[in-house]
Amino acid sequence: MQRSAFWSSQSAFRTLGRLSLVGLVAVGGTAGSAHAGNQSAANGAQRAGTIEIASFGALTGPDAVYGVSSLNGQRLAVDEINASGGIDGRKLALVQYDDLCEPTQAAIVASKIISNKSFTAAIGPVCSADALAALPIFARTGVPLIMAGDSAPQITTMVKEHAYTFATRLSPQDSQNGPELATLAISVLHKTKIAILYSEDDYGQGVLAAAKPVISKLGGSVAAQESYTPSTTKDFTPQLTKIAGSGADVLLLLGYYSDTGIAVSQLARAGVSPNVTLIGSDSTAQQPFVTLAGAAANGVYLVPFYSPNNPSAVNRQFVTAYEKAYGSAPTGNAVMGYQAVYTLANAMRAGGSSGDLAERIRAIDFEGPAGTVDFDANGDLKGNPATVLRVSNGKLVADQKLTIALEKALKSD
Amino acid sequence: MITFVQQVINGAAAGSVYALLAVGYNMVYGLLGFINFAHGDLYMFSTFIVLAMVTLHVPFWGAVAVGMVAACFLGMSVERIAYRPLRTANRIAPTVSAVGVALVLENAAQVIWGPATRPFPTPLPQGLFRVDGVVITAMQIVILLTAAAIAVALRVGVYHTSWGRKLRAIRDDLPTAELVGISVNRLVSSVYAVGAALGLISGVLFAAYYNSVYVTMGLTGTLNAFTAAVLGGIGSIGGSFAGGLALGLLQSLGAGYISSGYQNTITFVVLIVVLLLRPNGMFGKLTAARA
Repeated sequence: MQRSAFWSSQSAFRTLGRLSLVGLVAVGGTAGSAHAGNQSAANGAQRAGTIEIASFGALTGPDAVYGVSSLNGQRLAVDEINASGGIDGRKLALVQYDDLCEPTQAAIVASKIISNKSFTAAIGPVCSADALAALPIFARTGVPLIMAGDSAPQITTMVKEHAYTFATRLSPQDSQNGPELATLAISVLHKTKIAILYSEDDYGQGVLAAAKPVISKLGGSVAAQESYTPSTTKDFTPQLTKIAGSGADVLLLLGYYSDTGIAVSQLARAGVSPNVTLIGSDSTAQQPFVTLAGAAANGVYLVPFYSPNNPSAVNRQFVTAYEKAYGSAPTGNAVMGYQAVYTLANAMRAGGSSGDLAERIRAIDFEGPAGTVDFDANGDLKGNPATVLRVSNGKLVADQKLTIALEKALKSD
Repeated sequence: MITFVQQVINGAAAGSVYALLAVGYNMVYGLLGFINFAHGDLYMFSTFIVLAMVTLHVPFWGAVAVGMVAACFLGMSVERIAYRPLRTANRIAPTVSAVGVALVLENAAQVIWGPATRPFPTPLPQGLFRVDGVVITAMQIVILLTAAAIAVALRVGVYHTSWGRKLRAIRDDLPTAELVGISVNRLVSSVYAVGAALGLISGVLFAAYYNSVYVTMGLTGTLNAFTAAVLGGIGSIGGSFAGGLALGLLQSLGAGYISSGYQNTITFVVLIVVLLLRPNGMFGKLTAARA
């Protein structure tokens, strides 16, 4: 990414700001959702019989939406397990750490976690760059780490190269979402002139890199390929005007909802024809996308790895409990947080208290709200079927027909 | 051709929003020679106040009025608390306290309103017109007219009123202005209020145009205002408008014709070239450094 000095100094300012806030919080003791980790962990060692789990992710800052959702999912799972008697009579307790979605902070948090012997396992983070920074530190002690929201393919490479058997990842990968979007556009919706708007970071580039070979394989062509700086770009009209002039009949949105939502609200202004079909990636498939995009969101196709509309019994029960606890529908991060706690709990139940916990986590196989939780040799979640959603009257509605058509098209390739 | 005209129109609208923000920033610099790094955060904070009012079902124009009063009050308080005690100190001191104010405002906003980007409900017209394939939105016309009206009003205010005369007197020589009986503190305070109020107008237009209000828009705003001000001529009111428009057009045409990935790079390369050729910006006057 071609960041100029100004934008780097911007992030430096921001870091300063957040650090000062963290400082205030620590001094004042008014930690809100993130209670001071060290202190409670020290108390935890004395609470005999409690199973302590370190949980880390972005709890403040611009990416807090993802971290807080994940934490909500984890809390719900912990409450459910504790209400039904815990694991062999022992209660679970989460200790939260805030990594602000910044790799430097993630490294500090990881060091804190591994230096505390009372943790049975760790869950987190929600940003891929943080996971890449934290993994080598966790490798020092090998405390089991369940990554709950990191989709970058580089994580697999790192885990494979260094044989990080302590690590598992519950999130589907960007390399899976890219081909799904391309297949939906070309094989299912029969749109071959493709325009792409992607975020200039690991996420957007990862999805793009995975989508492009599939586009050419299926006989499509890339009419325009435009990028933007995530969470900084608000004026998308230059990119969209270029896309409007490219003659594309479908536009793939590869980015976070807070950016793509604003981009979609500017489509008409840039002269993009309403006949251009829009397809959003996993991170766009959030309800607030619709709030930001407004009326222009109607008819947009979204391909998340998880949909609250999934009809399975375990998902219906999860969605009801989540809505009751937090007053909103669960997001992908919430379901990953929830499944992460159950993955750990099921692995602990499976083998009592002896043996290698990390090994038992990798051997796990159960039905979660987002589908089967089952890991491959690299600790990655085995393929999850994608769901196709469509925005209709401001709501994300599952489209069963297209979901089945996409599954079929993906299999035949 | 259609694409080019479209990019120019969109760039001009974005540039007008930058210009309104740059003006408040530049007035302070022109007067005191001090870089107000909290300007963008003031604009963010007062825009959030308008959003909060709208969310509480206060009529839109009432909410803007409340936001305007809040912006003036905030601007004057910040000047009184963080800058006035440092007016005679080394120039670096008020710059640092401005960064401090910016951090306090940013974090306070995050605690009160949360980190998520929020949409901005507005009764401003959202329709669009098509002229020979070029799309012009009603909102863009509102933005361009507002910016033009404010440019004219400022020109009149600074060059044809007694307030403007006093202002120019302070700019030329602060101690002498004080000696001839100008209430410097009151005048400086009023400039901060006017700057903050223009910032709020820019904030509301920004929020309505991009349908988003978010905490870090303050810092981005400060950087854009700074860039526009330096490009146009730091300290010059006309320069802020020229700089703002130039910045908007650069971003729009740079992304449209070269590469969107290099949008910021193009902008800053042009900024450097302008500064090499005209160190005081496009409209800045060459001045000897004040000791």
